[in-house]
Amino acid sequence: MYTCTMNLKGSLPALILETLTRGSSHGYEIATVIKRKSAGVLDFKEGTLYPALHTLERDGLVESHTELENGRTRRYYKLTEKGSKHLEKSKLEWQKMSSAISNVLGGAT
Amino acid sequence: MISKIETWIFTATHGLAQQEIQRIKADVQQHFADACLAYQEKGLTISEAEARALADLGDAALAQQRYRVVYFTQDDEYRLQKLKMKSWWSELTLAGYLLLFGFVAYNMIVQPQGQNVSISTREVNFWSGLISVVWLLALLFEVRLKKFFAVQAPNHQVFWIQVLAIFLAHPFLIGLFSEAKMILETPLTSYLPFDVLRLIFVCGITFFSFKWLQMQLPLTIKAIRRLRA
Repeated sequence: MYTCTMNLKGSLPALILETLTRGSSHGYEIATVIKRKSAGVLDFKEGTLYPALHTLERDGLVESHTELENGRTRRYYKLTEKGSKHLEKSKLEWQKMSSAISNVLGGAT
Repeated sequence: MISKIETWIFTATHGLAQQEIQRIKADVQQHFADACLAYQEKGLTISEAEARALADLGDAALAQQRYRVVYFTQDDEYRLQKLKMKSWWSELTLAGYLLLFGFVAYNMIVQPQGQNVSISTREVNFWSGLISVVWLLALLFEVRLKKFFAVQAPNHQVFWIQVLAIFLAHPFLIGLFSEAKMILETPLTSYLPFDVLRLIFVCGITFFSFKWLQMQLPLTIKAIRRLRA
């Protein structure tokens, strides 16, 4: 199966933000959703998920809180208002880029 | 016995600040436990599940490279602590400039006029100008760095006094430089106590300017790398 090793600098933050639009989630769930939704095409090393998540948190795009679940402390991440706006902007940029690439590859004049 | 995940975390977080290590450790351990559980639910044995979950995390050494860009290292933490210390480097600079005013004013009043100074004015102007620009840039960097790392709100009053001092002191630096050159060209045996004091002062200013840049440059590089990450 074809897999695409993602560049964290590029798409991962936007994918994380999109995953969090469904509600708060923990790290493992975020990674699983991205892989499942992309049918395993978007593959990344899960150890690199946290620098991206923590950077988003530092920039105020997501916020986190801990919850006690089955005797274990879990950290949940939630999208902020600023994060939602940033995601919309990222989506628009991506659509522009995607459509431009499609035009070139599809041979549109 | 140290588990494989602990070894992975130790390698990946080596050299990072303690606070950062604790945060990463908590998240990665939780992630690893979730992944192991999911693999076991798929029918894998505990050791197989652990091996798969560990492989999913990726190479610890590669993760460490990434972590060092995004998180604070122990060295970064030390420099940030220095930056937090009410920016005493900045205040020292200010004190230095005030001293400079004092020295030059003293020399203008006390020193006899018409001394034969065999120094190229252009050369002196260049170096004093360069030092002033470097100082000003360092000052601007410090304010930017504080904002970037959210260390503390910059003290605007001190900042503008410093900027003003740099501009005002610029012509006086010429005097200091010509004096420094004269002192250096004077044989040690004919040094006056006041010359020694002035020499110490020039060396002190150079040393503290260097220390200031030495603290700021790595943090600036860190900030740029973080922005590009």
